[in-house]
Amino acid sequence: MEKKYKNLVKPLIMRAGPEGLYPDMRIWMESKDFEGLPVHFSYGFIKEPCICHPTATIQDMLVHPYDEVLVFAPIDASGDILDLNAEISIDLGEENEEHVFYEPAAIVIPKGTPHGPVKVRKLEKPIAHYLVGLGPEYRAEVVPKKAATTMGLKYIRLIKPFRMARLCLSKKLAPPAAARLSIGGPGNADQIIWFFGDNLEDVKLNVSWGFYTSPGIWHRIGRGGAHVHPVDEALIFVGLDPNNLNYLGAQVEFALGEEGERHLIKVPTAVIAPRGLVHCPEITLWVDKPYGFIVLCLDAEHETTWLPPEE
Amino acid sequence: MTKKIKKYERFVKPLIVRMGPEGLYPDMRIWMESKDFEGLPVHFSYGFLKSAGIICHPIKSDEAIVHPYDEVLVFAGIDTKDITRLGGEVSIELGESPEEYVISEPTVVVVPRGTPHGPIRVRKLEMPIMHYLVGLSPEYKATTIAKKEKSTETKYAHLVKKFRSTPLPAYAERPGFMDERGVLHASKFVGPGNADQLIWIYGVDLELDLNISWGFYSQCGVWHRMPSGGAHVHPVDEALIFVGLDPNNLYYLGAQVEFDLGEEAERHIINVPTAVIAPRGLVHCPEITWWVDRPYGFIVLCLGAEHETHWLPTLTI
Repeated sequence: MEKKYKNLVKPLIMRAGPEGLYPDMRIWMESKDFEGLPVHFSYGFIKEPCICHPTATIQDMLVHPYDEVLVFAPIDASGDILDLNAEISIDLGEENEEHVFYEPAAIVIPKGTPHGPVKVRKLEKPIAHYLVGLGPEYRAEVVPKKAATTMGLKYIRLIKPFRMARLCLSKKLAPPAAARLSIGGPGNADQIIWFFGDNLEDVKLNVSWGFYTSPGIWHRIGRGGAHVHPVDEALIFVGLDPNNLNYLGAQVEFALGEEGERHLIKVPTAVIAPRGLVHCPEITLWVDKPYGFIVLCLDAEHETTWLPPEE
Repeated sequence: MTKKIKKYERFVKPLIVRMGPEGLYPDMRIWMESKDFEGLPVHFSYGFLKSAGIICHPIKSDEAIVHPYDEVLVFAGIDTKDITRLGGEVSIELGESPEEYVISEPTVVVVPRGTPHGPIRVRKLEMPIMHYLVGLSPEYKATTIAKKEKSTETKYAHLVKKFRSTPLPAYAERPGFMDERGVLHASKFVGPGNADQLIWIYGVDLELDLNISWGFYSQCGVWHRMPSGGAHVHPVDEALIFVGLDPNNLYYLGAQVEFDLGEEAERHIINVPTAVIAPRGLVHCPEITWWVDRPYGFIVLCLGAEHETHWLPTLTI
C-alpha cells in the first residue's frame, strides 16, 4: 500500500559533497532532497586530525550568502555529551581571528562572514561534525585571507559551547529534576543539548544533538506525543559508528499525519515535518547500538501544539 | 466530538473486578466469563491470596465443589526478581475422599470435569500469591458436595503440576532462552518489550487443549523483533491478558502498551488491566510497550494444546 506521507521520509544520502570542503564522504542533503525545506545539511565523522571547510589551502577562507551553523559533537554515548576530547580551531572574519576550542560546540557563521579552515589538531577519538546551511543549496565564494592569524575576540561570541545551550541534559550537568521536560518518555534522549535562536545569534533556527539508547515512546503526553509546529522542521536520525555512515543501530516507528500513518526508520533518515503537519508518536522498537538524533527546526523557538488524547 | 469507533474495539476488554460466584472466594477478584470475552468459551479469574489462613474455592472447609468442565488453577508468585518463588505455602484437596496436596512453588492444578476439589488453604505467606483460574466452559457452574474422610492415597498427584515451561524443540536452537528452572528469557531473545521472565506450559503437560503462561514484564519496546513486527495469526482462539502486580489495586496495570489488531494494524492502547481477544485467524500484534512505571504481568490463554503461530512476512502498517 502506497503511503500518503512516504515522500517526507528521506533516507540520508552519502556523497562527497562540494569539492574541496571535506576530505571524506559524508551525508549531504540539500533542499531538493529535503522536500524543499530551504536548508542544506551535512553529517559525518572526523576520525583523525585534518583540515576542512575548506580543505584546499589554509590561505583561503569561505564566504556563504546565508547563515551557517557548524556543530562539533562527541559520539560516545557512554561518555558525557559535554566531552569532546579534541582540540579544534577555526579562523573567523576578515581579521582572520583564530579561535581554539576543546569542548563540543556549535559555531555560528553569519552570512557573508569569511571563515575557515577548520583545523582538527588533536583528537582522542572520532567525533561527529554536522553543518546546517540556511540556504537551499551549498554556495560559497573562496576568498584569500587578508591578514595573518590574529588572536582577537571580535568573533568569540560565535563559538557556542554545548554547556551554554538552553536545554542541556548531560551526565555531569543535568538540570534539576523539576526543570526537566516532564513529558519525556523512555525512548527519548539520555543526554541532549538544544540550541535556540537566542543562543545562536538570533538565527531563525533551533537545533539539537542527543544520544538515544532505549526503547519506548518519546513523548509521554496526549495522543502519544502527536503534535504540530507553525514552522518547518527536519528530524534527523543518524548513527554513531564512525566507520559506517549507513548504520543506524535501532528501529523507530514514526507516525505522520492526523491519521497517524506509521513509518519505520531503520537506517539514517530525515523525516520532514512541514509546518502544520501532525507528526509523532515516535516509538523506539529496539536499539542495538546508541544512535544520534538531530532536531533541525526553522525558527528561533520550538513552538509546539500537542494533540489531546483520543476520546 | 463523537468518539471514533475502532473496527476491533470489541476485542479489547478491560478486566472487570467483582465478587464472582458466591462462596468461592472471600475477596473481590477479576472475573470474566464468555460473555465478557466476546464469546470465547472460557471463564477466567485473577486475584491475590493476601493473608495466611484464607480458605477459598470454596470458602467452606467442609465442602468440595465439582464442575461440569475442566478447570485449571494456577498459583505463582509476584516476586519480579524470581518468578520461581511462590512466596508462601498453599494446600488443595482433591477427590471425594480428599487427598491433600501442599505446594510451595509455582504450580498448576488441573481439575478434570467431575473431580471434587477444594478448598484451597493458604498455610504460610511471605508475600501475596497470584492465583488465576481458567474454566473451560463459557460460565462458572458448580455443585457442592459433602466431603468424605481424608485419604492418604496419591491418586490425584498427577494433577498437581509444577508450573514450568514445556520444553519445545525450538528452544534448543537458542541457548539461554530457557534456563534449567523452566523459565524463558524472552526480552533477551524475542524483543526488548517481551517478558523478563516467563513460564509457558502447553497441553502436553496440562493434558488439555490449552496452553497458558505467566510472565513478568518491565521493559519498553517491541515484543517480537521480526520483519512483521510480530504480526501473526493462530488457528485457535486466544485471550491475551494484561494484569497488574499490585495486590492492593486490581485496577492498576503500571504500564502503557500498544496492541495492534487486524491486517490493517489498528492501534489499541492498553493502560489498565485488559484482555485482548484474538479469535482464530485474526491478525494481531505488533505489541509495543510505550512505558513502564511498575512491572506488570501478562497471561496467554490459548485454546489449543499447542501454540501454532503463522508470522506475517512483513509489517502491514
